[in-house]
Amino acid sequence: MNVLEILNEDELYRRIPLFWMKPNGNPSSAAFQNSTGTDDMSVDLGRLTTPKKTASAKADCGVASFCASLAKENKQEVLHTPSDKNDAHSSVRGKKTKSIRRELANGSKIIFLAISEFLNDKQI
Amino acid sequence: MTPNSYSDTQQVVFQQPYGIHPDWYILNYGFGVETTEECLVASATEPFKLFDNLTKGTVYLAISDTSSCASVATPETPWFVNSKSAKTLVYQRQLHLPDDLTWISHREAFPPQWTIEEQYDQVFSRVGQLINLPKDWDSYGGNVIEENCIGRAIEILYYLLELRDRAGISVPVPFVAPLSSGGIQIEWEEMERYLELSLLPGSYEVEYFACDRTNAGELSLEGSMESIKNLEGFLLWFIRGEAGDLGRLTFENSYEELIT
Repeated sequence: MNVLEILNEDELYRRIPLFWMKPNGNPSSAAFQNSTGTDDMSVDLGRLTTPKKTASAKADCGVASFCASLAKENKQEVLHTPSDKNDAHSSVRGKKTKSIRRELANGSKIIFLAISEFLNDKQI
Repeated sequence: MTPNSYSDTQQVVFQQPYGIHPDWYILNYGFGVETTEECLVASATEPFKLFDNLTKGTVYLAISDTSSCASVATPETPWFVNSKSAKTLVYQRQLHLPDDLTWISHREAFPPQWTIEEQYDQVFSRVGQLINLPKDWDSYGGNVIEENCIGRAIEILYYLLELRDRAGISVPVPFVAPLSSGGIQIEWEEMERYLELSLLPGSYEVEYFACDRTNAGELSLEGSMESIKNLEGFLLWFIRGEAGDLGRLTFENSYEELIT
């Protein structure tokens, strides 16, 4: 898979387990931490995948979407970092301060809900 | 409005468009008649779930009827569906809505009127569930939640209840979330005002982040505290304070950042 340039208008998908879903339907800022020991937060590049496919990596996960421009405005690099298992894998690289995590949370919207009890796939 | 008149006057459509499980129905509430807005059904529990005490069935609020990638208009907790909103309920077939609408009316609308203790019981229960989260619980390699963090979260929740009993300060129920690092985040949000506490693995300090919008722009305060007794100042600001009061809070190990 070739490494692509991520454009400002690209949508990035982040899996949201139910524990990160607030009662008002918005994601908590807790959902936007870096992976432990790294400066990277994993996301999927929207144009290379679908919300359902992103959610399918884990049961009972929703998907939040935000624009790459939002991350860049918050001092983050956005890089396409495909892996063997996921061509769409990308990284939002940079320190995630609490205020940056809140900005990402506020600028995200939930676009997919997957509640395994009764929904096969429910795209919003 | 009685249930019968509701079902006669609302645009109620049964749909099964999404290939959901055969034991479930979807009910879409369309925009209704021009009546006084009234609550039809509500939940004070989980964001997408209402337990019907009369029929013993479960009703889920799924989404509002929007197109792909539009914002999801899910209500605040307690969530509700009123006569002017477009909402989607998903429920088990045995509820037979709208024939069972006797439990949905503006006077008998649920949620259960939970006391503050019952609401906090739910939060305690949620914190207790975090101890069972396995490695990679977040699908991004998230760590197991550290027991020390769970203990400190419970200590903070008890402190909030004690504050209410001692000083009469009614602290809203916080949202508690696990952190991928193995810690716990406790947060409150009301419009532009936001308060977040972080309990991190390997640390006995409580990190805080608070922000609000002033006329001059957004004001935020970030730092850490060694004692949860300092929480009282934050909580009073959150509940009753003015936006500018945040800039006058002082604790050890804190700094103030004004963002415009």
